[in-house]
Amino acid sequence: MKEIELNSEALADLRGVALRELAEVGTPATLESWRVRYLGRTGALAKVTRALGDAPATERADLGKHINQLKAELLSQFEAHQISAPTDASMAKNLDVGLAGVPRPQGGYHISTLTIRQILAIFGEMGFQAVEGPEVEEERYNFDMLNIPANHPARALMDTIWLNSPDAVPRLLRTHTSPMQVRSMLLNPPPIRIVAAGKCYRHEATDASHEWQFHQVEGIAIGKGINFANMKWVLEQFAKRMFGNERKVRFRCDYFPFVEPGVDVSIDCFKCLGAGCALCKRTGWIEILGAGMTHPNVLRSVGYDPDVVSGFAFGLGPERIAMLRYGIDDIRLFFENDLRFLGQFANSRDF
Amino acid sequence: MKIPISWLKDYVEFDLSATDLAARLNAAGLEVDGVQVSGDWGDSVVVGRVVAISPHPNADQLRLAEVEIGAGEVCEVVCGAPNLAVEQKIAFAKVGAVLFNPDTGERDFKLRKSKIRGVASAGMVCSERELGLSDEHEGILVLDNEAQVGTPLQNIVGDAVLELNPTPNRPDWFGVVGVAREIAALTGAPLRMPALDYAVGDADATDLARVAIEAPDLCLRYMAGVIQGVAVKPAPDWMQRRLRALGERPINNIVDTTNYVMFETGQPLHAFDYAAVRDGTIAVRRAAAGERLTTLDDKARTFQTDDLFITDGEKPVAVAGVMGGLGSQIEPHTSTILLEAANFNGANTRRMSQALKLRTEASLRFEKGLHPASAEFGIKRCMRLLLETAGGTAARGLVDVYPAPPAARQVRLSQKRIKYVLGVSWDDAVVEKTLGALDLAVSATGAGEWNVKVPFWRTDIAIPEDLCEELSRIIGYDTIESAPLASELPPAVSEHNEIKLRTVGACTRFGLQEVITYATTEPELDELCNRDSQNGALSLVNPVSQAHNVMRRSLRANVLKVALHNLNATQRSVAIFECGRIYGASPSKNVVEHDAVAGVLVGARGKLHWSQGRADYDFFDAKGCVETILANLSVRATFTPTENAFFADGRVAVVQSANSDVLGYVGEVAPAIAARFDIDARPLAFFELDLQKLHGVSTANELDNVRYQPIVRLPQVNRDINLVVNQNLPVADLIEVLKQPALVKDVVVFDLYEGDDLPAGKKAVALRIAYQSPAKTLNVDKVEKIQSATLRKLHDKFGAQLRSEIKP
Repeated sequence: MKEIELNSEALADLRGVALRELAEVGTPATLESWRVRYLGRTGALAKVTRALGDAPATERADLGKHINQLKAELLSQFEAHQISAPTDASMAKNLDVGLAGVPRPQGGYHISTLTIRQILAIFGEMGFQAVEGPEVEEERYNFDMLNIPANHPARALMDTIWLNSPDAVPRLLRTHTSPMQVRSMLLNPPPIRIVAAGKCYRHEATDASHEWQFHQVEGIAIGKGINFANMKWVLEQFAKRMFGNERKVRFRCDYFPFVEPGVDVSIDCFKCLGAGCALCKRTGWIEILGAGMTHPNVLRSVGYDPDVVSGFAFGLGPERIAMLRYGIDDIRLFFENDLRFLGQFANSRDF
Repeated sequence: MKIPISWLKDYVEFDLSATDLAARLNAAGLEVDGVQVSGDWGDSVVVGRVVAISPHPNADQLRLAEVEIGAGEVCEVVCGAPNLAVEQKIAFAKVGAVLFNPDTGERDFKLRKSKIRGVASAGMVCSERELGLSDEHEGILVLDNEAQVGTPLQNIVGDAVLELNPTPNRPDWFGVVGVAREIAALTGAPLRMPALDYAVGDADATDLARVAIEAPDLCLRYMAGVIQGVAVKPAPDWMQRRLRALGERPINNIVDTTNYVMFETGQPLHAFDYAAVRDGTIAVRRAAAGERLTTLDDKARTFQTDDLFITDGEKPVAVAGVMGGLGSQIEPHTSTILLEAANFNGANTRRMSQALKLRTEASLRFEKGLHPASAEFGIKRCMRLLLETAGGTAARGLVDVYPAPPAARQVRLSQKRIKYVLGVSWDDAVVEKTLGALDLAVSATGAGEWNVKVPFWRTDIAIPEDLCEELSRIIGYDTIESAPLASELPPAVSEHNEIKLRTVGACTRFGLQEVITYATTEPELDELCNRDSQNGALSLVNPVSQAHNVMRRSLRANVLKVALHNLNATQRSVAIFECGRIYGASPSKNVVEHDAVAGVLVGARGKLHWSQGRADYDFFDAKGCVETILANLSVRATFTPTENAFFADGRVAVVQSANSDVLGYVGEVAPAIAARFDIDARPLAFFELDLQKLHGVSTANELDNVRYQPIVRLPQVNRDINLVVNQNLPVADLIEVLKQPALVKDVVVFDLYEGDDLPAGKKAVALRIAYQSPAKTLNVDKVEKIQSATLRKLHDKFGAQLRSEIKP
């Protein structure tokens, strides 16, 4: 650049070349050499500035303005590049972004816990508070106070595992969570509105659909003026929240000694929509829980007056609900605790 | 219980398909498990008449039959049945009919034109089993002679069998008449009761039979009738067919008739050979302990004192309500029978049949608490049918010992109560009509108030709520409109399981998978794992197996078993926890039960990954779990070396609260115990905490009332030091001294080193000390002054030296 012919065209050419070269800069070193070439003390812009003195006086002011603009532009472009260009040798190489990311530790709830949390959350919204009670239970809470006296035929429905009791009190592994009805009422005056989840045990042979250990969720609402229509509403809300708003809910007469009237509650089969399939055993309906109006004898057994307060109780099996929801075909998987099974639910919605 | 629809139609007329009927019964609370339809053959199976029979040219066991099948058509078929005879009306299956394969019981046998031993056969004469009517396959089904040739067989024997599962509170549903009554109520059709009247002879029943009840608490009623001159032979075909449809094996006309009437009325009956009952004397008494009787199933059984016998005054002839004795059964030569219809205490019958492991159709019915009045219905019906099926002459009257007939139940019902229980109001007329259809005698006692007389067979109805159930199940639950639960809410209950929720939540967040194991375990494993427990193990009277004999005293054994299962399933690592109940008998013999949490971490830390080297879980992973759980519960605790047989020596710490309560343990499982569980992987890191103890010391509630602290925005000055100390000096002792100056905000160990380039018995501990003043920027000189004072103190106390000052 010996003889610079300083004019607007030459400045425009200079600008074009400089910006093109800047665009090709890939490393901090080439960026620096570009800076020296154009913006350095002996760089191109310094040269044109010096050449300005030789320019005709009439053009000098315009050219000077032009040069200043170009200088400002190249400087700002350089600074912009300085930010975006890699500045560290460790970033010289491109990443194989398809490689697996570093796994974050992820635990998960047991499928039964997950299902119980969901059930409790739904009833929680309807004012049912969660409580828990003992699994090693006294015979009177499990049976007698629930209107199931000794040798009642209903005892035959629940094969009981008995404990070698260390004291004189007959004890067993609770066959259902219904003792929590009695316990919660003995502990508190009405109104009562609780749900109790926990393990239950029955002396049964184990197969794909039977386990001798299982969970239940029990609920009870006692107060003034609570009737069957209220029970129907609560259980319909639950069924729809759990299995979908479009579900139809059916009530059928059933027998549990601690309620009268007693019902079982079914939903229309969400798989075949009532047409009949293997899931609903060709009936179009899937039974999800048992319920009923708390028997006056039960209310009396805890010192409540059945002419003053009334209410309802219900019970359901989280394992059964989970099997229906997730299509699990063998209940034994729940307590085998194979991580290849449990891990499948790690990403389920938490409640 | 099975009931053929055709049998129901003897008592009630209805025009519902089997499926619709099942749906109606289901809705009303009589569960129908299934409907087996037989006889949907269309025109492919028709009534045929055997015109001629000739021998098969090539087989002695087979014959050729010419069968007329209507419209003059005659087919020649090969038949092997021994009971085939000319002029019989039989079931003829045409080519193309789909029948039951008699060997497999599957309906997949499509009839083709075939040659049997060289002779063409264009159809088949069917047995009951081939038609799916029963298991009978000895000979062909012989039809009533009235049957019109060519009529589709389904018009004659087609049927559907309901598989019913009645609830135990409804003994009346254990008889066909009871179910028919239900259908009558549901459809509004009248119920036709079976005929009970019969002709009697001159002899008086009370002269022939004497009955004494010596145990009136267990036998509430005993009725007896006598028929002289009976002929023991097979029961009529129609009766045999019905019994077979229920899965019963026909025996003889007398036994079959008593069984038939039991299924019909729900009342068990028993016929004795009068000759085997000494002087026609019946005494119902308790067995003597050790007394023996051989029952009808040919088993000699031994009895206890609350077992109830029917005796002939001396020796037992039957187990009351369960099974007859072999010695008094109906024999081919029996000519006089004594018929029993009794009522036995349900609870005792259940206990007895369980103890004897002998559940019969009779005991099943008595267990449900049958009403004593049902005996009269049953015995009259049975007397009538016996005279029809076995002939003979009935003695006049019946012996009836009925010490305390219960009064008929009356229940008061009102519109007010219906509204109170169900939240609905039906018209008075609807209420009266619905109850009336169930044979509940309703009489008004005021406006919307009734007195309801309960028929004897409804042993389940005693209170107004029972009547509300009747109304709602018959009128339909759909007619009760749902109403939001708007009643008063109780106050908040205490945070009973807050500790458990926080613990489980923390464990899943820091990467452990929750497991849930059995509440029970093997006694030896429980003993092996819980030598430190002060509680005794609670054992079970009737465990499901020996592996579930005792209630677990800790989570240790079961969690280790799950670890092994998953290691065997080639998991690279197992990081699991359980939060659940542990149980025991306290030293003062109280049953104790509370929640605990335990975790096991074994194998590689984290998943296999290209960026990570392999490092295995160890003690400090388990300790980290404990520290995080404690932090989530706002519990301050100390970790102190201890000895515990479950853990390896020198690799276990006891976790204690500020007031020295033992909260749990963290450590590596003792190799001998790991070996007992077949776990080879080491280290086997384990932690456990007692949630009840944590509940006592947790200030988790206060955590919810956290008070904001202003952030100190002044700069923090970090100083790293590398101290050389004796190998056995706990680092916590160093930290305690380092933390003493007020301006020290935090001390973190970032490296530990033991090696040959250190003096023997020494280790190097690298620590970062963070200094910060809440008030002003720290002066570097001040930090240096504090630090050198601390270093002097460490040197004086522990002989600690800076590593840089040690000569190599």
